[in-house]
Amino acid sequence: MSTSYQSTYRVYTQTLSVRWRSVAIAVISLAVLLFFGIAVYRGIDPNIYSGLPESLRSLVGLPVGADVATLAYSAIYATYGGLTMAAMAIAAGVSSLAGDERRGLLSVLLAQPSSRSAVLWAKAAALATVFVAGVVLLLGAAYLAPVVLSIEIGALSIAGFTLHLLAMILFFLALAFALGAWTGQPTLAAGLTSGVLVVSFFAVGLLPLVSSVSWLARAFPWYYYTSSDPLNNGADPWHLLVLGGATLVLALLAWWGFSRRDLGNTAVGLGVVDRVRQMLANNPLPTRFPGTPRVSSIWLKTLGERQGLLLLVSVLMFGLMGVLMGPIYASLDSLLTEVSQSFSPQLLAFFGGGDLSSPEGFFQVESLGLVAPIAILVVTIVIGANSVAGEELRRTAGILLANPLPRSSLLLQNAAAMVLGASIIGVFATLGIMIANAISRLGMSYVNIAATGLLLTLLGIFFGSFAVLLSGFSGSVRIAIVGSAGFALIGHVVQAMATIADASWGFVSPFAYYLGNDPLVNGITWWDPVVLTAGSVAFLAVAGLAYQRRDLRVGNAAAGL
Amino acid sequence: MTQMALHTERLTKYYGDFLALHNLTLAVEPGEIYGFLGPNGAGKTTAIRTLMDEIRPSSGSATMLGLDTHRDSLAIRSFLGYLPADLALYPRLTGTQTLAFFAHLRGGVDQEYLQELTERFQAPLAKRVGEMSTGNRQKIGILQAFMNRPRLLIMDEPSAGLDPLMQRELQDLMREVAGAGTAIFLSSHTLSEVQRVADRVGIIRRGELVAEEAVATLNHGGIRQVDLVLTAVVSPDVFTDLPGVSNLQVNQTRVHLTFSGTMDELLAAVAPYAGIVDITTHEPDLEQIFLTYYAEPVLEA
Repeated sequence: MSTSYQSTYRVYTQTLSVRWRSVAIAVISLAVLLFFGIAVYRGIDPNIYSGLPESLRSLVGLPVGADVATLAYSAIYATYGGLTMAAMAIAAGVSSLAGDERRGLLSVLLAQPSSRSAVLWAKAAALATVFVAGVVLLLGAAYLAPVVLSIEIGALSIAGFTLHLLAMILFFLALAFALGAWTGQPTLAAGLTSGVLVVSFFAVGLLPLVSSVSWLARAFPWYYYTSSDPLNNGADPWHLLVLGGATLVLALLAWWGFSRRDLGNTAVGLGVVDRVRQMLANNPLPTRFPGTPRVSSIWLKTLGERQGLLLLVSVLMFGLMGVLMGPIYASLDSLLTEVSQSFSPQLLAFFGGGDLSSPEGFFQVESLGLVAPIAILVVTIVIGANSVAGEELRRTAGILLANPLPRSSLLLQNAAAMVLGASIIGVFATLGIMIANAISRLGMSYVNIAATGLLLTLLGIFFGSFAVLLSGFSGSVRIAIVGSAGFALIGHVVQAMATIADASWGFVSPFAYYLGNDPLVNGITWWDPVVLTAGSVAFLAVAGLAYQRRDLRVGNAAAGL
Repeated sequence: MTQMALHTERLTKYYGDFLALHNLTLAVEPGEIYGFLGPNGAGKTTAIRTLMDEIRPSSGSATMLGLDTHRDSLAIRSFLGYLPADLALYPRLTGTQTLAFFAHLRGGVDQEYLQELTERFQAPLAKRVGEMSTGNRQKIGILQAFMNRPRLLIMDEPSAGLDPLMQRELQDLMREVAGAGTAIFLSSHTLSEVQRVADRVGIIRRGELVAEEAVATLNHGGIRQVDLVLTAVVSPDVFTDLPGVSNLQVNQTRVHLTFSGTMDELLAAVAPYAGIVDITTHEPDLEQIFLTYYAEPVLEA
């Protein structure tokens, strides 16, 4: 075996060893949720879906002729599973090449007898291996669950659907990998790819409803994952070809770009504020904003570091999920009123707990039910997970805490930044819905919109605080992110299942205190904010105690998992 | 009695079953520069991280200016300067922003003094830390460690990445602040630097302090390098049988060795086998003393 081959093989196995754990955890969680989902759906009448018009199924992502198993597979695997695995793929794709470059590991790898191309392909192959193995495990669970739970799955094409899931995951993996390979900037690559995922998910849900622009949905990768309904119709070779071809092109582009550019493990992108400051370089205005305000305290610095993410999510929540929803609802109003009668209360509750023909119900299904929590949780979990473990990961904890700064203050100031970040997004989301309400004359209560915005903010803070807890307790950013995101995923599924099964155990999910009491319709129920706030305070208190007592970790030891 | 700037008492740290630091007892006086030497993995950084309250001792205790390093860590940090090994800073901040950030955490620092330090080290503060060379990044670390005029400085490999001119500048600065009463605890591999600036050195091996001595009197043990030119070839056994001999190299009639006994003993040992044509002795530098300590066999646990 040649030295070069050995070296490349080592890169492959090393990447595998770093990546398999988090994917395995996600896959096992999804498999468990599938069992749980099927068990819950078994208790409801599948006939509630008959008569749903095509456009509405597109809106809520339900395939034709949905039965118990279909609904379970659609909800758990296609939506939660698809989003979760795509997010995992983005994280892995960005981190393995651009992340290693930023951490300075790439220069060490490239000092070995392995060419740049070999390193790139070894990493790409390892990532593909991990996700193919993960999807194979999901496939196994999908076949096993109905047998164990004695459910008839009829002609469902689990294999066909799984192929689409795999193709979609590999596409987002390749996109993140290619952007990382081209730019060497993990944050930029992660932001852009996540943006494509979110916009794509949203566009494919909504565009088909408006016939004049429905063709536009084809421009989004998510379209080739769900639109052919592979669960019922089997694999669509053309759609798979589109995703597979795009993946291959992205991989080749990654190789082409990576082979040609200068590597720099210290390359740093400019923050949004700095870009604006640069643009205004010849204007006297910037002198009023010298470089120091953002470093005058920990919480300001933390917010400064997350300004791009905050801006992106705020714009998404204000514009796309808020203001634009008004005209969209107004244009669909008559259709929604007509078809809402074909829904059972149970099913309506599942998609957000409201009447779809009402603006409140529409906002809950399209904006507040899934996208808004994901958006705000991304921000609060990222800030929370990095709160103290981030300093340990980048090896700045020692020099930072050599200053007269108590550990509790470091933790609480970062928690304050997280709370502020959540509040900014909450305010933008609230304003967006209020403006939509005003310009489209939807007649929703402004007080109730504000109450919902408050609960959304508190939900974000709750999971952000949980991330702070894991960060303070473990000193590992990855454990904090995976743990909090996992908690949120399970919480959301439990809440959805409890609602559809009309079960009393829904109260265990934090999401029950968000939309559980229909705040857009009913206004605030006093214990909802109390429970979410009390939970957050408890998490932060325990986090402070745990962080105070433990040894600090250093560098990659803080990566965890 | 003068209050010690730094004092550790039987400081011990286990990582699981691994004993990283064992009964470390040492003291540093105000105005003293204490060189802390040891090979990689000897426990130097563990000792420093314990002093900094980043990790907690398994047993034993430490004080800085009479304050407990854990219980009073916050009070200690207001008069402390710290430069960790393998320095990491915030890559997106410029040098100016980085120093402003740390200055804010300290409630402000003397800007004139900071300016003076900046000019002295020619630090490129307008650049982002992520775009700086290792040496320039280290300069930012040095500036932040000195800028609050600390009463105690803890520095782990402070010369890393600095060019020789800047290394000399740092050594001068260390001597100046020590002259003004600041105690410096200096962990370093650059033995010439320690020899040049330190008043005392402690040598740590496998977590234990194995030697501690003033640099000026470090060679009271009488260790010296000896070069002999003999009239005849002599068996190496003649030297290896002699207590205090190490680093023996025999090349025909030329012999080089490190010896800690008296010249009388050496000459008496050689005399029966050969005459002496020439003999030269050198005072060993710190590096040779260091190597002598580490050339000793280590008992395996």
